[in-house]
Formats: sequence, C-alpha cells, structure tokens
Amino acid sequence: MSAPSPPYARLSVLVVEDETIIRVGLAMELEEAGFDVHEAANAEQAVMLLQSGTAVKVVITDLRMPGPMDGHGLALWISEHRPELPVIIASGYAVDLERELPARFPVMSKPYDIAQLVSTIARLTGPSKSD
Amino acid sequence: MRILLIDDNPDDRALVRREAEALFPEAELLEAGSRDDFEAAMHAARYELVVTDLHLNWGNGREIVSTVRQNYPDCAIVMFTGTGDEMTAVELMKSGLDDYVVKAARQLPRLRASMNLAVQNARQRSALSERERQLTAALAYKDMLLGELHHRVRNNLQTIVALLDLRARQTDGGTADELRELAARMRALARVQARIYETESLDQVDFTATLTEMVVELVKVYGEDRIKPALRLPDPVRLEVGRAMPLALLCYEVLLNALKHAWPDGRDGTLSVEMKRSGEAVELRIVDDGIGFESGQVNKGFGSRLTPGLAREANSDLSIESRRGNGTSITVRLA
Repeated sequence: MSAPSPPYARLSVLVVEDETIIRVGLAMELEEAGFDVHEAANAEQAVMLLQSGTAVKVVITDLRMPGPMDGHGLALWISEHRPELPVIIASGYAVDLERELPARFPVMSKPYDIAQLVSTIARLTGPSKSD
Repeated sequence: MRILLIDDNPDDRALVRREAEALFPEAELLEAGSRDDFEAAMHAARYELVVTDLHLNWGNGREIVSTVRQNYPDCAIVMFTGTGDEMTAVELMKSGLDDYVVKAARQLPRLRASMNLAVQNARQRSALSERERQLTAALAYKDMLLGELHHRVRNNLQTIVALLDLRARQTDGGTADELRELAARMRALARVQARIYETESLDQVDFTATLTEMVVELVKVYGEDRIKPALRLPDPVRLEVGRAMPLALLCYEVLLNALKHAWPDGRDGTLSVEMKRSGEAVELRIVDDGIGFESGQVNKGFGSRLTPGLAREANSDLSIESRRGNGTSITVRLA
C-alpha cells in the first residue's frame, strides 16, 4: 500500500462534552495525537452533526449532560441509528462506572487519560475500519 | 396504649370505661375523679387518648384541654358535654379538642366512633410531625454537607493555585509564564467558588465582586503600571454558579488576551470593564484602546478556542469588534 501516514491521520472522532474547558482541552490533545476532531456541547448537537452526514468513526461522550438526552441516551440513539459507530462513554462519577450500561460501550473514568483513550479508540476502530 | 378518663361522676367514668375497653381491649385505662388525680395522672404516663367531661366540680374542660395539649401534643382528646354546650365544644376544637359527644344514652354509639376517629387522627398527626422532624433534620444535614463540600473544593483549588505559583517561581522563561497563566485560570475558578460560600442558597455568586477582583489582579500582574483599569460596575449582578463559572473563565481569557497583546512595545493604555443590568438582561463589555487586530489575524490558541464555547455554556451571546489601530471591544449579553 502507500507510504505510512501518522497513525490516526484522517480518523475522525466526535467529542461530546458540555463543559467547554474539558471539551476543548480534549479536542486539542486528540488533534495533537493525529485525529480529526469534531465537537458537540450536548447530545442534541451530536445527533444533528451525525445526521448531517459528517464523517465520524468514533464518538466519545460524557455520560452526565444537561438537556433532554444524556450520554447514555446518545449511545442508545447511535446503537439504533448508526450501529456500526463505536461509542466510548466517560464519567467522573464512580457510581456511573458501576451502573449497568449496554455491554458494547466501553466506559472510562474522567478526567480523561489520553493514552488510555487513544488505545481504546485504536481497539474499537481496528486497522480495517480506520481506512 | 394508655387512656385517661376524667369525670367527677364515677358512673359516667364506668360508662366510658366500658366503651373504651370494647374499642381498645389492649389499652391500659386510668381514671381521674379529682384535681389531685388529674394532676398526678399528668405526670404519671403518656396517653394516647383522654376522654373528659366539660363540667367538673373541681375544674372545667377548657383547662383540661389546654393542660393535656401542653403535656401531650399528639394525644387525642374527646369531650363529653351536656346539651346546650355545643358552642363551647366547637370553640374548644379550635384550641386542640378532637371531638365532642353529648352526654346522653342514645349518643353512646357515637362515643365509640368518636374515640376511634380521634385516636386515628392523632396517630396521623404524630406520624406527620415525626416525618417533618426527619425532613428538617435531613435538610439541615444537606446544607451542612453542601457547605462543607464547597469549602473543600475552595481549599483544594487554592492549594492547586499555590502549587502552580510555587512552580512558576522556581522555573524560568516560557514554562514559568505557562504555569502563571494556569495558576491565574485556577484562581478565576477559585474566586467564583469562594463566593458561592457567601450566599445562603449556595447556588449564586456575586459576579460584580468576582469580576472586580479579577480585573484588579490581572492588571497588577500583566499591566506593568502602563495599563489603567477603568471599572464601571454600578449594579450588583448575581449569577447562578452554572453561568458564573464559564463566564469567569471567559472574562479571564479576554482580559489576559488584551493585557498580553493589545499594547505591545511598552505602550500605555486603558482597559475598561463595564457591566450593566436592564431588567433580567445583563450586558458585559471589555474594551481596550490598544492596537486592535484584523479578522483572520486571530491566533487559534487555547484561549480563543475556548471563548465561544464558554459564552454558550454561560447561555450568553458573544460579539467581538476590532479594527487595526482602534482597539478591541468584547460584548457578552446574558438574557
């Protein structure tokens, strides 16, 4: 195939997080790691972005967000409408991490550990899916 | 349960005793035929039901109701009256009597129903007041926890600020600047956090005070005596914490950006901060008389990427006006 590119070039991720500082900080770190990052401040914005046809390969969403739909609702929406799209759920609350969530969503604790997040994204997308 | 029967007529006491025993077979019954009996009974035990006559040869029903109520707020009280005493009885019901029954043979079935209902009502009252006591205690506990939590968060933020300041002093050059800026961002958050603690509801902050402190401090650190702050903050503005936090960070980013870039090469200048309230709406303007910038010339650093998101998070509109040579003006409108 062609010459090797940065490991995550062109891999597009959507970061859904209501706290601006955390969302922008995470987006900048993921951009540094080579990802193409889209941002949404709540679940509704994320749904609109996904419906608009924006190419997204992975969604990283906070669990607790204000508004009619939280991160869990978003994950369920995605599994219904975009079943091929992997979702990573994050929460800063220990009780959430013990809560029953659909098994196919990996759950991570906040604050985000970028190395762990990147390896989870790599595992979920795999070499065949990242093209 | 314990029941107290008060009547100076032993036959009437026996009559009430029969009805009460039929209704509450498990109850312990005490009788008071004299004032001494009554006074002794009031100190002897706790009663769930008191049945008393209105006219006693040693006292009256009004006094009995008031003494019983005072000693046993949750106790049921039923009164025997003669015909013609109904008005007195109704009046006594306002001061704590549960029910009254006219003393006559054909009223006996009503006595039983009346005692039963009065006891049930009293039990409900008692359960309610216990529930109310528990709720009051739970509320006080919640307030205490919330206060304690804010206190700890504030202390932790101050520790973080102190650590960053310390490292900034021990480091040189760009890293020291970075650390100082981080410390100042944390301090902006800590200021809001500290002000939460001042309010009774623990969900609002005095944003005017927060902003004043922030401007004064940033101008002192970055203004190097060249930049004069001009504060026009006539109205005290209180904001919910959920809006005050992102807005404080936004102000910090805007103020720092002006202080670092608006007056290069040692120029003098004025940094104006205005906040006006009209009804529910609040307008905040941060204006510098520096060199300004052309749109498109803006760098894409952390700060400038943050501000639009912070404005949305604070549920506000942000507009930025700038022209080369004509300073920059930032307006934030909170509806």
